[in-house]
Parts: sequence; C-alpha cells; structure tokens
Amino acid sequence: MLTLREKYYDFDQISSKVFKCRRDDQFFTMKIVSILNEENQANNGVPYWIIREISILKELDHINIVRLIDVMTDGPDLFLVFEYLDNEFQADFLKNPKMFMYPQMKKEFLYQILNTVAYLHARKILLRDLRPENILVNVRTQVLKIALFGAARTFEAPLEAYSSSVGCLSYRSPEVLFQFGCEKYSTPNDVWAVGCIFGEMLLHRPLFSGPSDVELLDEIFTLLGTPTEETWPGVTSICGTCALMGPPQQPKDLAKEFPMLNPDGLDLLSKMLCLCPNYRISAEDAVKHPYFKGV
Amino acid sequence: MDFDLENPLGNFHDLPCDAVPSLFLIESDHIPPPNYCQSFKASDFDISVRRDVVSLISQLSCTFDPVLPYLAINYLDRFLAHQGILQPKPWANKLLAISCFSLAAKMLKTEYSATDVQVLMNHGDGGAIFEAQTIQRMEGIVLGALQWRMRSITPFSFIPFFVNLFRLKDPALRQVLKDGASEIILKSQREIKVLEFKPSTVAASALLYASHELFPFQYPCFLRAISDCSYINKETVVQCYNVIHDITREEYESVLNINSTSDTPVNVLDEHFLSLESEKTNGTNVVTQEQDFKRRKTTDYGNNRTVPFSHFHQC
Repeated sequence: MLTLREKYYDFDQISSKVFKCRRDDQFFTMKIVSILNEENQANNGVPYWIIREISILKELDHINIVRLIDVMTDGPDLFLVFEYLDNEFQADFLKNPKMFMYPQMKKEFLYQILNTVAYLHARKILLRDLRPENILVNVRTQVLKIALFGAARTFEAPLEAYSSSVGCLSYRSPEVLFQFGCEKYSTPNDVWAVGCIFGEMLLHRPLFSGPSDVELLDEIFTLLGTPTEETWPGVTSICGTCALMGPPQQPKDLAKEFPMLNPDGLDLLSKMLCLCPNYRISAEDAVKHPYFKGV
Repeated sequence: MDFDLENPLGNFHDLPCDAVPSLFLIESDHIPPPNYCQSFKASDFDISVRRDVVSLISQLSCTFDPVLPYLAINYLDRFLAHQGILQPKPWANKLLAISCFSLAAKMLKTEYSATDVQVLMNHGDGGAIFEAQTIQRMEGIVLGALQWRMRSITPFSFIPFFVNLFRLKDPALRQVLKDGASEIILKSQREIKVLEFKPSTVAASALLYASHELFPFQYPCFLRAISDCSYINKETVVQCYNVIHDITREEYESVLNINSTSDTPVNVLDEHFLSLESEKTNGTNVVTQEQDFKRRKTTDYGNNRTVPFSHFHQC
C-alpha cells in the first residue's frame, strides 16, 4: 500500500485544506478532512456522516459530478482525492456574465443539472442541498460539474455544518419548510431546488430569498398561490401551524413573471415548482420535456 | 446527500418502471466476488472462523434492527474476500466483529453504547478491552478494504418492489409476508452457499418461500409475478429457493433432532413451475381467493414438501 506522499506529489496549496497535486501526468484536487475532535471522540472512530457521504460519492460515476477518486487515511486525517478542475471551471455559475448572453447555454446547463439529478434518484440518492454555490461551469466546453461534500475548490464552509440540515433555505421545497427540522426528505425536494435555480437563471436573482421558513413560504405563496386541499391534497395535516399558511393568495401569471420564457419553458418551470410534491414533475420526466428538444 | 439504506425502494412507491433497473444493475458491486464461496469450501477452518465472527456480530446486534447485523455480515464477507483468511486469534475475530458492527451502525445512523459493546464481547472470559483508537484503526482497515463503498444493496432493498408485484391489498398481510421473508433472509445469510446469489435473487426466493408457507393458495400467482419480472433469472431463483429450503429444513430438523432423508421427491418450486407450464398449455387461469391467514398444519415431517417453516429467534 503506497503512502500518501509516495502516491501523489507536487503539492500546491489552493486554500487552507485543499491542495492541487499530481500523479504521473494527471492532476487531482486533494481535500484534508480531520476526523478527530471533541464530537468524534465519543463516536469511537470515523463519524457516521463522513462514512455515509463518502460511500455515496464512491459509487458515483457521472460526467457532471466531480468524481471522488481515492480516499486515504493518515493518522487523524482523511485525504479525499477528487478529479481536478482547471481554472476554466467557474464556481457559482449564476454569476457568470456569459450565462446571460447566450440563452441556449442556460438550457444546456439546466439539462445537465436535471440529468444528474435523475441519475442520482435512479440510485436512490438524494441531494438535499443543491444550490448554485455547489455548481461549477466551463462556459467554453459547456460542461457543468456539481461538487458534492465540499469538493468545490472554493467551498469553505465547515463540513460538519454541511452535513447538517442547517444551510441555505432558498432552495428548500415547501413540504420541507413546513416540517423544518424533519429528516424526511424525498426526491421532489431536489426537483424543487432545480426549479428555483431555473428561475434564478432567468431573473438573475434568487427566486425566493427570505431569511426564515415563514418568510420563504410567504414568498412562495405570493408567486404560486396559497395551497389548498384541492391543489395539494393533505396539505392541512402537513403544515401543522396554520400561521405558516398566511392569508390566502392567488397565484401570479408565470408568463408575466418570466416574459423571456417560451411556452415549453413555462410549462416545465411550473411543473418543477408545483407546490404538491406528489404532483411535481420527476427529474426523469423533466429531462424528456419538450423544452429540451434539440439539446 | 442522503439515502434510505433500509428501504431504498420503499420511499418511491410511484417509482417509474425504468428507474428500477439501477438497483438491479449495481447490486453486484456490494457482494463478495463469485470465487468467495469456492475459497471457503476449500477449508473447514475458514468456515468456522466466519461462523465465529458471524456469531459475535449476532450477539452484538440482537437488540437492534435486523438490517444492522445483515449489513455488518456483508461487510465481513466483503472484507474476507479482499483480505483473505484471518489470523487464528480470538481477539482478532472480536475486533473484526466489533468493527463491522460499528460501521454498520454508523451507516444506519443507529446509536449504540461502546461500553455495552465491550462488555458483551468480554462476557465470560478475561479478554482484553479494545481501546477506541484500536477500533478506529480496524475500522479504517475495513473501510479501505471495502474502498469506502459501505452502502451495500441487500435483499431487504428489493422486498418492497417484489411485494408490490404480488398485489396483496391487505397491509397486514403484506407485513406478515415481509416479516416472514426478512426472517428467512437473516437465517440464510449465515450459510456460505447463499452468498453465491445476488441480493435480488435472495429476496425473490425468500418471498416465494414465505408466501408458499403463509399463503399457499395464492402462491402460484406470486410465482408467476416473479417469473414475469424481467430483472430476475428464473432458473437462478429456483436454485436459490432450493438452497433456502435446505437451510430452513436443516435448522428445523436440527432443533427437533430429526434425521434428514436422502429420498427427495420433486422440489416444491420445480413442481409449481411444472404445473404452471401445464396450466399455460391448457389455457386455464388460476383462480385465486382471499384466505384468512393461517399456517398449514402437517403431521408428516418426513415429507420434504410439507415441512413447515419454524420461527426460531436468535436472540
């Protein structure tokens, strides 16, 4: 078994715990994860969330997912070796000006995101925390990469926080916001997040940005209307506190909110942002939507 | 990211048909390689070592969800396939058992007390207490050997899918069937020969065995549903069913101290396949009726075809 320094060399620091390194003529990104701290002592070994996350990453082999190639241990540290993404891959792709110059590029990238989500869902893997910060794009080659488990080069949030349910709320679905803190995620939540990203591509700003679940739900219902038992069977028993519903609101006309979008795009967007999770389009069906004809 | 390890298909009752193949396609990645069984058959000592560690894991897991020991034993088999035979030292077996148990508990997010684990392992002898660092190092060795691919696809993953094919409407009856099949899966894992089959095949065979025992009049319908499933190889299911049948009968007879007979009539699954073929030739339809749940009684223990399934709990 080759040791870390025998297997990889030419280390070049990118950020505090992220390095570029080389083996033969190939470059990799190596991320150091320390597994010894106060919390981990009580767990007697590698924490469960690290094992679970790595187990998933090790199974994934998809062009649009940053690949985890190797895992090595050295004393109290884990070394995660990812495929290397050169400088052409820009993080936080929604801020890239070229995104707004070429409408076709938006469609291409949306398709790649949905294709990736469909791939994951087919393997019973949920993303749970998809957001633009975890997406990198190469606008020259039009290839998009989703970085998971802090694989993004500029991802600096502590891993412990990343694995918890605390995080950005803007891409959480209404059924998750209603039951904030509940661990019962499911595939429709990921599709909702893609719908929010789609909307953000079009508007150049987050679709929903309230700082709390109550405010977010209000923004959602302002745009899409307050759910009823007719539009969302079972919603009354889900929402728990009636205060989360707020006063009844009528849905806005999406065609007026998104004037740049053609009818197929409006149809897809409305289906991804369907309030009822059971009626929301699946990622598998979304990639087959007429909006992507010609992609 | 997350996944429901216990029931990855159960969360998706509206699962599109062409999404199902994924689990069937990747399940082989999470079982020992095909030559694993052959290497064990070559050595009685190896078999006894495996049984020893399996027994230790079962002791550790007796108060937990049955999926936990199943997963831990899967790790054990994959580890042995990778690392070869263990050293003949009792403490090494215990350390491996603890590590596989611990890793399975973590994958399932199951809380457990490290102190209780140590006490259980040392019950009845003056064995050494393993330091946390030792367990951690052993966990690292197992993780490395398994290449950190700890989300094993087990037979439990396929049970909801197959049960849905059976179209049992009563939730209580579905649960009885699932429980029966789960018990069979747990028992059969202790025998090496079941490891030759893929998890989906084990699940299908266990469900058929349980349904034959619990719902004999609907059994032909269930059998046809399994046979029509394009992801299942019918002949392999027959073989696996026979292995499960032998294991279950062996355990039953060992408890009652009944000698097994070498006079084996047509195996029950073969018989039903034959009758299905003849029914298709005749163009007749099998009439199914709802039956109250009732175990069949038999007094002819020597007849293989009517040996009842017995419920013996390990813990």
